[in-house]
Amino acid sequence: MRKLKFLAGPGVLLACLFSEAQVTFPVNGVADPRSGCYAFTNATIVKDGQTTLNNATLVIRDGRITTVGANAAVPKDAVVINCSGKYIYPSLIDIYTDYGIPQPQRPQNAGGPGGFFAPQQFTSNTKGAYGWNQAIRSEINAADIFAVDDKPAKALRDIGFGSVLTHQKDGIARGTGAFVTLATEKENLAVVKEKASAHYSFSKGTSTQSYPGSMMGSVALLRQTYLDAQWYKGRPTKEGVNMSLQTWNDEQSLPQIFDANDKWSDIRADRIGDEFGVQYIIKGGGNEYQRISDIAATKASYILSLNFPATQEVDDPNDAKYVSLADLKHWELAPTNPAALEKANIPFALTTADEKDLKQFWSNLHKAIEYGLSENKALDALTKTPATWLGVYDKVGSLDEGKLANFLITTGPLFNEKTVIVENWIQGDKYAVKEDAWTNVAATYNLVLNTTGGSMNYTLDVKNSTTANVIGKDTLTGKFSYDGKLVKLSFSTTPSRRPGSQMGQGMGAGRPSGSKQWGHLAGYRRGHIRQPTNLDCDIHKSK
Amino acid sequence: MDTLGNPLTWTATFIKANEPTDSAKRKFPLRLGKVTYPFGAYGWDSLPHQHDLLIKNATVWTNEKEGILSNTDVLVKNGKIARIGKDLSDASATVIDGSGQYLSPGIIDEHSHIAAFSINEGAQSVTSEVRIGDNLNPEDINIYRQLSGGVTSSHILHGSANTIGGQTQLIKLRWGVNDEELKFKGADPFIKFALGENVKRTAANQGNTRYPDTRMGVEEVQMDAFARASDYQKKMKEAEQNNKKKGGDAQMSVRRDLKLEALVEIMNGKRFITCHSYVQSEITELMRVAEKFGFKVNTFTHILEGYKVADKMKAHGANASTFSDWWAYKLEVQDAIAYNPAIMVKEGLNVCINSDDAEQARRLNQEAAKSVKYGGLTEDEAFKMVTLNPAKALHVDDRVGSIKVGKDADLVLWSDNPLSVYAKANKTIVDGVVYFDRDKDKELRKQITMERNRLIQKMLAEGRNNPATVTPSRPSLQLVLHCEDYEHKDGLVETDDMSEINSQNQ
Repeated sequence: MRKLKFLAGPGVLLACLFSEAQVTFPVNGVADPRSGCYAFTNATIVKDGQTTLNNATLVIRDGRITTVGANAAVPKDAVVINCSGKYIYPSLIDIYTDYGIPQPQRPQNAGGPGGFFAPQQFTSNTKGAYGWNQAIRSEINAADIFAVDDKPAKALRDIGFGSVLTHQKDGIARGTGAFVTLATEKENLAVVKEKASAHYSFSKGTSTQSYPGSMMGSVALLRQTYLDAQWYKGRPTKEGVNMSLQTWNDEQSLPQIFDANDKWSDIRADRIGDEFGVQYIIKGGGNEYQRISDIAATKASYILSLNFPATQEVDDPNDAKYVSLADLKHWELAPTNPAALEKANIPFALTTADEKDLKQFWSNLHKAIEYGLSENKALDALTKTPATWLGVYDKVGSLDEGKLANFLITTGPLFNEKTVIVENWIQGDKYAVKEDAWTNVAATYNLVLNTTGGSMNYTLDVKNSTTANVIGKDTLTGKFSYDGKLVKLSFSTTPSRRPGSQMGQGMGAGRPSGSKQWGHLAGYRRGHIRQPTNLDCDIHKSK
Repeated sequence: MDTLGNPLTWTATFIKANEPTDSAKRKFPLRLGKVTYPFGAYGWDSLPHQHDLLIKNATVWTNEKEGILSNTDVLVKNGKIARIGKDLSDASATVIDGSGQYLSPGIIDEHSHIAAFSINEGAQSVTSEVRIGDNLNPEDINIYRQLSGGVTSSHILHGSANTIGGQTQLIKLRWGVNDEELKFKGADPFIKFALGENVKRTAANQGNTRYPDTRMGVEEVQMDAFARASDYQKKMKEAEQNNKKKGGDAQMSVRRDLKLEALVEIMNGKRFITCHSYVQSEITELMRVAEKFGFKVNTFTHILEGYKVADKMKAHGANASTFSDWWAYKLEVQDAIAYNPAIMVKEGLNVCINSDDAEQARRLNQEAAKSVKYGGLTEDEAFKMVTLNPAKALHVDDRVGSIKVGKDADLVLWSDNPLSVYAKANKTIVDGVVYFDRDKDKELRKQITMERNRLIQKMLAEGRNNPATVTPSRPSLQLVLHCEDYEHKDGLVETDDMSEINSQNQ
């Protein structure tokens, strides 16, 4: 498998794949053991919501953090990365995903159209020694069906996540969730905890069975299953083997997570828990602020999505009149939901679940902060809180010695709107997010060209990583780019009357072009701190 | 390299950083609307509190032997009726001028399907384990609308999809409270049964796979269910005695069965049946089954052929809860007549008029009035069919149903004779709290218009600022739950299950 993946994988992945080979796997070719030791120096290190170290060093080896501190010794074999001006945060944790889990499919033509008079399916279609109801899927283990999947992993990594809880979002009992990192690694290494949680909901999902066909039926099924599972502990001979009830019982010691998805359902789920001595962690519906005292009374912890309602097209009064006041009000107030829970001292974690577009996650989070959520709480809700609930805070959720080397390098405080996540390191491997943001090259430079005909002086006004003006006697527009390593600059030494057409020559510069002189320059930036650019080559953090 | 192809070296030396040109987006102070209870139109800014009330100079329909009292005052203290009389005074009470108005007990709807997220669990013929009370929706606008029609309590029934349906929930229309506070505390528990076309799935157009297929089969389902419940009760008792005797070692373990537990409650007189029923043969059939197992059918609802078997029902001890003149919607109701309620009353039955419909429930006073015309009931007898009689049928007549000292202050102040088509509920009071006030309602309508306008303008502005985020407008679906149908019409999606709405929204 590993070999196949290796060959099939796109070139960019190669760097990530060979970091930590598993010892039990045979070597085909030449062994390439590396300890992956890095020292990130001069950084502002936010270890957790409470502790920030200035001008500190983070040392990692073999995918784990070995030292964090202001005076941490840099090992001799470490690749030193100067993080001056950078911030380092623990990578974020999403407690409510189905990353790497196959999408459950509802069988075609099963169950018919539903409704009052549709034909009934009385018992489960699941084959095997399982229970009577197809929506009780406690036998499903996310770890059994989890496969690393780079595309969704990258989407999550790019917005700062390093590890997630994943489970199959299907059924009333959904089995166990696995805690995994978003590393593009063999599953053996990506899985941090095989059984980290057990999951429930009121929705029967892909079950084709008729029962339950209503909310109250879902409640009744859950209550009866708690009773049946208790009874099954006595191994009643008439029941035979019932692996659904067996796994249900086995999972009771795990954190119990209930996808309720609405304020009234939150309360409803909590009541079922109360009856059977279970305190669920409840995945809310985003409208908890509408009943905050009732929500607080559940004494549950909550998982909140930042999937705020979209702005609707209400230009036409005929459209607008069908949008209810409740929907309009929810549109306005939904971003206050995390702040409302914070104010009411209700513990919560944040998730990207239900987000229509993952790219909206940060703008929605900024909005929640604008609407009253504190930054410290936001960081906790994305790191320490979910890690603690799941019993993996000894591995992730803060930058402490011995934990997984899961961290973000950012250009500033994480929750500033201008801050950019530059790199996301997971289990000691770098995943570039926006490397060109490593250095803020926007500045004014003194440009000197040393040509055979002598040196020429210009002022280089860099606006951003793709735009710059060269100013001599006149302002000369040229082509500029900077990808974090390589600077490319080409410009005409005389002002252009029709800049458009000349720009079109782009990388073809260097060819004689009438009376105009062209220069095409390329150079590597050295290191990461703001200093003069020159042609010296310094390969950035190779490994 | 230069234009001649000569290589060159270059350096760029940092001079100065650029001026920050782009200040962070300017933030406006947040101006946000209020969270209301319920969240949406006609919600309260904060939940209303009980006040002592003194209603002065009203014409009081007591439903008691005092009958109708003119120019009478009613004092409400701590949510209960404290005094009834002339020229009462109380320093702490808020005075409501009832001059020219009629004060009556609140209307009680014996058969309703409002305020719930689902009504039917029809996947099996016996679903006595499901409970309407597990899925109340206290934000259903029908609560407010029905308050405007003088309704103060509603009996929320499971639908008629199956022979033995789910456990029902009696609620008080306390607009704004949560689901638990909506419940009528301390009331006897009930359960819905059903007979006839719906349960034998006459209209199943893709073939019925669920037993029973016939009315004979319906009886078998009942017999079998209660036989199983009897066995279950016996086994439970045996296990209990056995485990007491022998101690820890040989514990007998009987699977607790929520379905059968509810049926055991029925047999022990701890849970009561309200049964959807039309045809006389079935009505007598169910009474016979009940008598075999030693219990009574508490209420026959719909009961459009009740006039044919009123004497048998009287002998059995059943209540009747029917429509005034609603029929001709399917074959098994073709023998219905408008004289049915009056005939049953004259036969000595306790008769209620119910709605089974969110709209009709707002006019139950008029529904009751029809039996004055058809059957010649007195106004007093007619009005009791939507107040005291349902209270009796639901075993809560010690709490509600009439204006009597000590009873709950569930009151309606009408603009006119409560049976008149011109009568409007000006104030509807539950437990001494004015949950509906027609003057306040007018004010709320203005506020709703203003609030809507403010939000639409805000949404339009947001749409102009971030056009990429705008989605087509989506009508807010209102859920209307029924006994039995599933259909779309007139902009409202009507369904018997919230999950249908959810799946459409996805």
